[in-house]
Amino acid sequence: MATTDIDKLLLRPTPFGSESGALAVGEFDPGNDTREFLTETCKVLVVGAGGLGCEVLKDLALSGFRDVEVIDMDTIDVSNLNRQFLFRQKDVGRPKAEVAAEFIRERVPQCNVIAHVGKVQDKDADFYSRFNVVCSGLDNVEARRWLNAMLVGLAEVDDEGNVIDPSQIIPMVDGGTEGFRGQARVIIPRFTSCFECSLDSFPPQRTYPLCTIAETPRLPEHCISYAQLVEWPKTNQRAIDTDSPDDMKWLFDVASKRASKFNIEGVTYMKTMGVVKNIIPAVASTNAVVSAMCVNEVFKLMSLSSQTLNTYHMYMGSTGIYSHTFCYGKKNDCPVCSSCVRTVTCSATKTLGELVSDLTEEPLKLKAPSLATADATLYLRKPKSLEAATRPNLDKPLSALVANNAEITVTDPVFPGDVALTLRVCFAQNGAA
Amino acid sequence: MATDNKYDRQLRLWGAQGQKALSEAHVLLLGAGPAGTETLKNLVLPGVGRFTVVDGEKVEERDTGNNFFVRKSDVGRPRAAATAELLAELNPDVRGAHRVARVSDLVSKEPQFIRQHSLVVAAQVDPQTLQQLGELCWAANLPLVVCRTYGLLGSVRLQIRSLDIVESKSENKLWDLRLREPFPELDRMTDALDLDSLDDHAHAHVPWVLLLAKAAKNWRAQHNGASPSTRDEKEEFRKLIAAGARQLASNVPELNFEEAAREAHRAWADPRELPYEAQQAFDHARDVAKKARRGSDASASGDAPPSVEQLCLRAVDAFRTENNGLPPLSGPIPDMHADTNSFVALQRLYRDKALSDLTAVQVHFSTLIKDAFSRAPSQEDLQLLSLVCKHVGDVRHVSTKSLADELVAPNLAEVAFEGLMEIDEPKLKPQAPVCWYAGLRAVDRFYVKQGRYPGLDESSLAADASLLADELRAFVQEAGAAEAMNEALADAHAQELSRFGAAELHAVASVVGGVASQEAVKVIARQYEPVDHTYVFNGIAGVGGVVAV
Repeated sequence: MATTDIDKLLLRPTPFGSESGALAVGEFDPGNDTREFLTETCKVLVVGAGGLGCEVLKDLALSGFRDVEVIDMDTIDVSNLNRQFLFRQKDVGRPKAEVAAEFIRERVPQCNVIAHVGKVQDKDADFYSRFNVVCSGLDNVEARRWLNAMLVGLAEVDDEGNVIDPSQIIPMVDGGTEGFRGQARVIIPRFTSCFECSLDSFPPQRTYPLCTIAETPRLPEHCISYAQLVEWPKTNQRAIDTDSPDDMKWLFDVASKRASKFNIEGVTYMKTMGVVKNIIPAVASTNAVVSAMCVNEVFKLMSLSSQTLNTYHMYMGSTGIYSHTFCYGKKNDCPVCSSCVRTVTCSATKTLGELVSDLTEEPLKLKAPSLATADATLYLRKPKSLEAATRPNLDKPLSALVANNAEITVTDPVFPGDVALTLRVCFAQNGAA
Repeated sequence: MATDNKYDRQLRLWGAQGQKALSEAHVLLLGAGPAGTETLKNLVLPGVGRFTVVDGEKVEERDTGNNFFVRKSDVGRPRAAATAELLAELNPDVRGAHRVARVSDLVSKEPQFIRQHSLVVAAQVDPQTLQQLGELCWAANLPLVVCRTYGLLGSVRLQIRSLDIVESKSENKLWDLRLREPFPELDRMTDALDLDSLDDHAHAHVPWVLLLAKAAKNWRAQHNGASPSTRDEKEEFRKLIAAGARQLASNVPELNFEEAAREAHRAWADPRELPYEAQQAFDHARDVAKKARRGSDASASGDAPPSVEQLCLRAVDAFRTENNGLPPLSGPIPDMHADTNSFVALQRLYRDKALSDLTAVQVHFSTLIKDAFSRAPSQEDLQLLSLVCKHVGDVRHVSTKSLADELVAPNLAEVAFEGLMEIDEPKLKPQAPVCWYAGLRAVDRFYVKQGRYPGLDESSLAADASLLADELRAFVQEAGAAEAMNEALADAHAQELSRFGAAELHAVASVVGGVASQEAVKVIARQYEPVDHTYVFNGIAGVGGVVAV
């Protein structure tokens, strides 16, 4: 067999194998078995076939991996073409996962890529547990939270917190970019911090105070937000379709009128899109850097041929180049990767509805929590009949529903169905909220 | 789809100006291995104008394993042709060309061909050829990006002799508000403001800029024209501001007064004082002009006509001389708590003043352009001047160390000391980028002596590792860095480099290509700040860093 470049890594011994690193995941055994595992056995799932995903697929195919699957729900847009290099003008409108898989199979025939068109949330635990490693390049926090919780959940632990079946520890290598900056990180479920542990580091989307938008607009952004949040609902029955040029043009026109009324300059179609769609600038170069760093980690994790990134690498390219590698610490009370029971101290008169709304804010930021105790359902979102039956509970004080120190199980669509967190409700003595 | 512009996502970074510069650039790639083609890919996608690939190899089986821009069916074809074809296919806006030639031949025999381009990317070029190329590019003031992939290591080296950056887009935004030395229009607006006569609503919506302007003026009146300077004075000033807030019936604090107290430091900011790096850019432009007048600078920027950027800087400089050191007003003001009318009025005031300053700078500029090129400034020149005036604190002059200087006089000891000091854990020190920089230099020494890279075949692995360890020790010793690097460097580094056997891993090449293309875009667009001067990626531990040896 012709000696390829990756063989030098896979077949030769090294003083810097996985076992020598700060995050050791196994002992490197150079030779044909390692090579065979990487090229024949190892199954890789790529999540997202966008800016990062296209790069990741190419990098995997040229790093020896041959059994790759990719999942993405999106279709190709013109504005993808400046970086998502597996797509051409003729592909606009087609599913990203399909086109990307076709392109890789055509260019690198030894690599078989299977496409799944759909949301990560559409797949179940059986689907995810088939893979040896997951490499994600997603553009939103929600899908990452769900995927992370799924993978952490697969690594089930016993009462002492030890993983029951180590083969179900599926590492997740996650990348993200914004303009000239990006990050790559390694998540080993139950061993390193997980995505949920770092939720605080994602700032909420930029918004403008409603009173400024309505009463004292000063910036073009204020006029655009007014068109979007105030004028649109007044004149239209349906939600804005941010992909529709007609809708965007409507918002642009309304925002322009408001701007000229207030003598505010700078409302453009491009700015309108940026504000309404919360567009994050994206370039080919940063995607290339971050994706390749991720795949390099996948390669090392699966072959053990070198050390593993411990655990987070940041790249900033605007002012010179600044990069920083550090170990992102586990959060002791992480709702996903710790089995910790969270204690909520509140007044006995607090209503269930108030508790539910607390859960959707910092630090948990849940989306639509459902709550139950071991012997009673408190509030469930689905099915509709149960929702209707439990809705009256929202107005009841907690003391009427649960005993002091009761444990409540919370499930939420940001996590897969079998991932739940436990709350212990303590009623405060002095009645403080 | 809500836009038909495929460049939308990048225009939000570098704007139409940057895109235009990119579309006018002609990039030369020397070496069509994976690091080279990945770099070019990331320039073709965003719409570089033209590229030319030069390579002397034929496509081999090996290439199909690590280079995305060759196919199985290309094996046996010239690599330059195959890669140029697949790269051009990425973007119909881009014109691609290729030449089948050995890079070393081209560099030694056809320097004039290389000089036709606006930027050179050299990927996996051998040390001797690179040295020649470095000198050639330095003499021609042609930006050079050197890419290297070596096993799990990658590096990007930027060589720039002289480049003026107009918009460095520094993260901490500077606002030029002139509160310490208000221009007459601002002064009049400040005088017209009678806070006591305002109703509560209006009082709570006076822009903080005016609050500060007013308070600063009062202060100066009571302090013989001086602004707050000592810590105590500054604290006192801040308290005075906060004390001006009204206790409203609603009990809602006045946000504009809170903002004013927070921004109080702007009241004594000296508008003459530009950020150090910006001032350096002006000083450099002035030096070049002086040297040119004396006719003493015979090389590089001397014989060549001055760049339009330089003339912009000199025009601004002339304006400053005329205005007692004050630069032209930038114009934009930050958003602040205010009602629409007062905010818009304030915005206009600053913008109008900026326009009138710009007009004054244009007078100097026209003279300078006429002297240099015997013509009037073009529309494009004027646009550039207006950018410079708007971003006076954001201009930069970039000049890296030359490859030649790096080769003979590395300040390795200092760089190693700093690079290793910031790593606390002893176990992590061997993975510091500076250690691997030294390792790659040792590989080069090996190559120059042996005519090949270490560890190419199994039989010589151990012997090569031992020779390489000698080279590494010798290099570090000669550079006077033995003491600084002793605890971090070991024979393990040489063993690892020998193991790599000059392997070009695609993922590492792709990191390198990403970094190199990002630096190239910054240089071509003359925006942001390019790296000074070498970025090293250590794919073993997932660590990166800048090594300026």
